[in-house]
Amino acid sequence: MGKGIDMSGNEYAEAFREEAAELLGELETSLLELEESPADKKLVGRVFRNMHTLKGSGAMFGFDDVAGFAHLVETEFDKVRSGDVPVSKELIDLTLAARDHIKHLLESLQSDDAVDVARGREIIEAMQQLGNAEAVAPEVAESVGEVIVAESLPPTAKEGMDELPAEEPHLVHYLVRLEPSAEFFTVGGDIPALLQDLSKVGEYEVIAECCEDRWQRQEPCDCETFLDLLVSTDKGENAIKDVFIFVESMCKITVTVGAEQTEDDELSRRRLGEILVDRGDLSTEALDGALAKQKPLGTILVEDELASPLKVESALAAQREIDKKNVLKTSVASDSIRVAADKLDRLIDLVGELVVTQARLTDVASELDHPVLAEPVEEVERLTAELRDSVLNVRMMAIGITFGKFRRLVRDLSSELGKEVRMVTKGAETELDKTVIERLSEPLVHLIRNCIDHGLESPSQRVADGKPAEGEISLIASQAGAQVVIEVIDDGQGIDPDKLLAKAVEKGIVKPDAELSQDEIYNLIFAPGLSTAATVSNVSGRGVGMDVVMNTIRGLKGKVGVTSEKGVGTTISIRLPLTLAIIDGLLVTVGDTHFVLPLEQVEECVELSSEDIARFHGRRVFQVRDHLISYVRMRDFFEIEGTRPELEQMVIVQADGEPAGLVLDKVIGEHQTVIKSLGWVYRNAEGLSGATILGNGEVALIVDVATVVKNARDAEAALVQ
Amino acid sequence: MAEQEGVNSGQYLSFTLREESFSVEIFKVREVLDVTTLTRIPRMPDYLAGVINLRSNVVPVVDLGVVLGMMPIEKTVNTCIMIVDIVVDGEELAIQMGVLTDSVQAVLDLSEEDIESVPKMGTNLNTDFIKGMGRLDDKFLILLDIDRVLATEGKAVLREMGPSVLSEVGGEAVTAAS
Repeated sequence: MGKGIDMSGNEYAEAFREEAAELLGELETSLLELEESPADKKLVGRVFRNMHTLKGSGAMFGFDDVAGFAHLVETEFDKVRSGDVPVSKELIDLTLAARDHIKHLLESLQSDDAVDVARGREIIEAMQQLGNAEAVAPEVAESVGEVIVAESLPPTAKEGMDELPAEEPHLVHYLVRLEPSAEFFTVGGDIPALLQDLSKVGEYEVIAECCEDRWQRQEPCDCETFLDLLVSTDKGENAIKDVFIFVESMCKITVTVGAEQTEDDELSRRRLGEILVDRGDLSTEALDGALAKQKPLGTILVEDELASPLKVESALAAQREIDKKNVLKTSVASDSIRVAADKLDRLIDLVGELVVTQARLTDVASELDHPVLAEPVEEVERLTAELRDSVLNVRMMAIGITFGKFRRLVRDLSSELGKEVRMVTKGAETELDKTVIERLSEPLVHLIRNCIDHGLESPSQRVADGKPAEGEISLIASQAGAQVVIEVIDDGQGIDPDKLLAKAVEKGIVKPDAELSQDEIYNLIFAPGLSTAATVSNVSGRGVGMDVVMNTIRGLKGKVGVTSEKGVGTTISIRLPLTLAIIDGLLVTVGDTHFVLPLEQVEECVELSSEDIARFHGRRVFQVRDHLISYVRMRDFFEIEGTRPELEQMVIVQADGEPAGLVLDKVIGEHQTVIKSLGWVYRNAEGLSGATILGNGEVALIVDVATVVKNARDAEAALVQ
Repeated sequence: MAEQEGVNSGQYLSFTLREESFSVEIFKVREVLDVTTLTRIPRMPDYLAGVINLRSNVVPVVDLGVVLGMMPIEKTVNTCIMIVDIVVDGEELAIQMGVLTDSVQAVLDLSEEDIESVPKMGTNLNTDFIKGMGRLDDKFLILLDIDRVLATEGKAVLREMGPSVLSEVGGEAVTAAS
């Protein structure tokens, strides 16, 4: 562990770097949150713990200068934790700077850049000044930026963790016995409703529902039923009692505290015998002998007629439940593991092949039509679908992990540009594929930069316009069907379409006589080389950012839209497909070619007979219930030879928020579709987003519904002109 | 020009298109398959014969007959698909592609004296696509630069540069491409 060992090149170092990157990200988020709610002790604890872990694992893996620096920051932050130093903007500034310095230290090890030792010293000195300088030993200040030998640090991060405040809510188990009287039932007391209220307080389980032998009585209400409920909550006993407040007079409610979830459960629950043996007052053999004579308590109680067997059984069940919970709790403790991404990719590939093979199996089984075969095949189908979903889910991550980074960006940029900005984030829990999240980061940075630089006005301007001085940027993620929508909204000056168009004409991007729709004009902001900013700052204005946004989103098979209102603000929305690997599809045929329509976009299937076509005189519209729907004939669009059948099928799909019909020969059924790329050769194939392999080994083509509809519409519009 | 670029002696796989013999370096060929179900991709040029399922992978197949300005290949018992690895500019990995041929013949050992430089004219082919002429007994076979044949063609068509690049190839391919 000494500083002489260079471990920076090996895989442990890599593991540490990854861990450190995660910790630094968390640290940043916590600090920014702390700035907003400075009184939150939990956040202080989290920041402290982050630093501490960085120090501990840094030292363990031989990153001594990282560990040394983190140690000094931790020392300073400890004063915040103890309440000696208040949380202030300066403190957050400095700690953020310290966090950046650690990041820099880590990076410098890889790139051999010189580390700015003086910078580290400045940060620590400033922090020390902020805290009471007398609390710091002078030699610590001396050693800033120099290597601190690992021996002076606690050997592991774990050891120090124990002193820290527990971040987890303090769950306590309560045993609630509900003994409703006969009156409760006669006035129509509703136990399920009570249980539902209880579920808002915490997790509960009904352990036993016992009654005495008075079941046989004539009066069904007076049966001495009782319910034992095991409730786990961090809200305290009163919250539970509140639930039953209205039925108190009609029921007997007893709330007793069950096992409390603490780390030292084992210590507190030592038995008498064990203690006696430990103290040497009793030998182990003697204890065992005595224990052998002992009957279980329940048996004794029943034998002595102190309690009914049923009540004892209920109590035992409660005991088992608590034991089970404890087991559950220990397994929750290790709730995440780190897995190399390529292992996951391999897993997904394999599941993809399994899905294809399963489809073939289903095909074969339905051909053979053997009753014995049907059931296991169905089972395999179900399991495969479940396996597919879980495996794909493994790659999904909450988008919130990147939000912290954007908060930081907003904070830094707003002070740099002299604007007051508040950032609002929503939908942090929205999940997306890991690679998608990673690749989204850059475009979002560009968009947010743009908002602050171009979108939001200066505070004085805003006040003059009657808006609050503080501008607002919202970053909102949500899921809509098979798509994830991410919106970046500002309440700034909006886009001036005339100014934008003039600029585009000036730059030669648009011909002076071109007639553009409002949407087309707004979309010009994505054109390369166009910026409406009068001056080029180091933030934006070079006109490169927005086309990067466009290209990245297109690369992810997503779409970008802009809406804006002058003086009110701009919304940029990004729509991305939820998954890039496997989808549910509807298998259809046109001629000999199989196509798959993404099921998420399919609304319904209707028939289209030649009479229907005649009724509309060959115009490609059709009445479905009360609505007219225009349709595209896939045979024509994809230029497939052969004659169309007498009775065609029309699948109604959602394309860009509007229903449209796709007319085809035959609907075969649902198909689990493993998406395969058509590859480089076909990367420009129109109206197709990929291919998949059918059970019989044939290839089916996945239709890009939105593009087909749009292209057909455009083609018709072009014909009109 | 092509003839300067290392026409190496070594092993070649020979195949036929319309009775004429061609060959490619053996290391370019991953495997040879009997013709299976080809799925055509709509709205694509004729030389792109479609895609096949190669052990759960979707692999594009090119009709070399059309590419080289001959007739499209008709399926017979001898028709084969050669799976080749193509290196394309700007793509990191080699691309697997299927090549439709009338029949695959044999693996040949060609030494340097067996390989003649490309005739300046008369082959009716874009000489950029030819690495050399191999001599086998009294027969000649055309050694194709398969990377160029497939990558250039693909690009030319898909970027809609079409005829200008392919003008040497022959009428039909140009029609197909444009």
